[in-house]
Amino acid sequence: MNEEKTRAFPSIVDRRTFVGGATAFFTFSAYAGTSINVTNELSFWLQSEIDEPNWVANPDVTGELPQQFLKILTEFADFVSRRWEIRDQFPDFANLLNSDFFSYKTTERDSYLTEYVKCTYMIDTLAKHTNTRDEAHEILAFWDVEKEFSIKSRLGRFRKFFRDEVAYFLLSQGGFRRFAELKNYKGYHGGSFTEIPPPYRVIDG
Amino acid sequence: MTLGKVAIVGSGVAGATIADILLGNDAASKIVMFEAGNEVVMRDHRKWLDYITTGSLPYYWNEDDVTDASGTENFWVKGGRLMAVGGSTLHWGGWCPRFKPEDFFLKSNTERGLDWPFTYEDLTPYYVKAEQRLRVTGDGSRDDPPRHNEPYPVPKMPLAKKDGLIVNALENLGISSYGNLPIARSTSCQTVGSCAYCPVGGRYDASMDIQSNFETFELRSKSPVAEIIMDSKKKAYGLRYVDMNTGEHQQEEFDRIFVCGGSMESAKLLLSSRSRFWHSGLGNDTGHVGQHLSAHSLLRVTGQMPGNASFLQQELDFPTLECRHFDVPENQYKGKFYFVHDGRIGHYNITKKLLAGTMPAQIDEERASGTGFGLAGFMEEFAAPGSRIELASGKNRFGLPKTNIVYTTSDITKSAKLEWLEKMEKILRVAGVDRDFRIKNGNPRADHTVSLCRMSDSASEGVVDQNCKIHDCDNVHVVSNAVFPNLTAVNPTLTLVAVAIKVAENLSR
Repeated sequence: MNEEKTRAFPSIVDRRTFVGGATAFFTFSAYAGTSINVTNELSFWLQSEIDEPNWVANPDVTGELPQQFLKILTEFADFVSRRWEIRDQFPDFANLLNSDFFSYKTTERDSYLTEYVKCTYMIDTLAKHTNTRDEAHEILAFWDVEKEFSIKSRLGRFRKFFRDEVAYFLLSQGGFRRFAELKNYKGYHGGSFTEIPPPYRVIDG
Repeated sequence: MTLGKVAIVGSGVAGATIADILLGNDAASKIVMFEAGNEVVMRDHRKWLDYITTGSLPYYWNEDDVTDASGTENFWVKGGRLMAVGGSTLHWGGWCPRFKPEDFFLKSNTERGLDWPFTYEDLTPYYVKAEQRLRVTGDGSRDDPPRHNEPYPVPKMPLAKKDGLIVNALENLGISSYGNLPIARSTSCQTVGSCAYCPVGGRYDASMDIQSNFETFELRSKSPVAEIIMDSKKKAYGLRYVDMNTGEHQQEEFDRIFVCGGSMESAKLLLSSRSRFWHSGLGNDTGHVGQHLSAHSLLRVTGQMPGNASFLQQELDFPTLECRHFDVPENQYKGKFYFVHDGRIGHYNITKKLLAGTMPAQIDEERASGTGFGLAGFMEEFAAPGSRIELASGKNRFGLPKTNIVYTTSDITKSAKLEWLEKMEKILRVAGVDRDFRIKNGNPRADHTVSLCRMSDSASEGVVDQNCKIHDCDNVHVVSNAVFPNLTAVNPTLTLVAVAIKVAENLSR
């Protein structure tokens, strides 16, 4: 591991610009459930393109994600897992995410460390202008959810590199059990097929 | 006897098998394995996590480039094979059906192609060893083709619940000879559902068998072989290869050479090895190298079944049910047919739905309202005369000649394809599928390409003899799907491994 790179923590890219120059555009007209309306200014900010590669930023910068950032991202994952009704499948949610997801994604190349830190700034910045942190989570996770945002945009990057990946991880690690009858799912270590009963539904099972 | 200094060209399943057996039986020999592609890290947790969360596979860049071959409008190369240490087994499905006795007598039975220079019974002991090598799971009590009570090395994988509706349909239609698909999944398989990149080595790939720790074995990746150099008509001197790290061409002497690349690359190497002894390419005095191109298309029928009270959904990443009812001698003249129930077809991707904003309750409703079913299979296809591969102008990324494919499907195969697709549709209808039918009559693919260096009793009819040695050349063998005289209806890999074991054991005995 490159010690120098590991210590060189990613910088805050655009927080100052955003907070200083655009505070006024956080006025939510209304939202309930997945029906979220945001102001034109916020929509513009979420969708505007930023100067980043099409892949994760600084993939060679590795290291464990500091606790304060872990907490912010875990809160987001907790929010979406409740919305998807899979949260009850995880008795040790935070530890699972940390040890089996964040740690692998940040300590080895291509590292998501910088990208995740930027995600925490996005959550924090939005949360300063919403009534609750979950309102910020709601926007980041579900606003205009059927639309595919550009990988160059703030929201597109957040969703591609964090929201989507954490969704696939959580479903594969047991979230699938929320959905009727399933005994196995892509990414789940179900066990050997030679066991009785096998780890999937069989003709006579 | 010792084989001396041995070159193996290609690190796929055939090359790995030959190397492994020679290392065990012939301690005095020195083996150098050449591979055009690079080493790919397999069984790595982070790479597996990336596959689960993003769908990206670490060997994607080892596929062909779309510009590597011409003539691909009706013959697909891209995605069919991999240039990497371990070859195409890095991405294979692992289906391991044996050929059937009649497959070795196509010429005698149909006047097409060529008979094999040995029989199913001759190959049977090597099939047993091949199943052990690939760690095949299956039902040893089934006797189609004959197993003589030989169990599989790994117990059978029980049929999935979703298979049940297809089994009922087969029974109703009087279709017999169905059962557990023989597939390369060892007992270490943890049904992780990510077979394209297995984190625990539950699915065999040839990189597992490449013994880099033997002192007498050397793997040279990123070293494509460009030519076999001849000393005389009967004896090869050695090889010319490219060290891609330096870009320099190197020449090296060997006592024996095994050409174990994929079908196309093996034939291309012989065609590229022109000399004053072999004007048209090594082994090509009678013009059979690169000819008789045959390959499988994937025939597929899918549809939707209304109602899904049991919430049937594929929970594994591979099929479990096969049917050989149409893979019988009476169908050989038009092309026998083999199919599986592929429960992955019509898979309902819950995660994708959630990410698209579908609420869990709505997902429950959609899952209960119906489910997708699909059958997929291969038939023994007959190409029109003149179907072949050729060296094309220009070089691929390895500095080897590009490929030109000349392929036309015969009329009898076109007709039989439609018949088999109709059979699959009928089975699905009897099973209860009644809407959204999709019928895919695909093109032949590079991964099951055969006959480009076919085995024969004499040089007048083919390229290699029953030991896969090039006719009239004493120290070059081709061990590849390319030597199969005909295609059959089933996947070729198990038979290739059986042939490789037979060749290696006979030579090192």
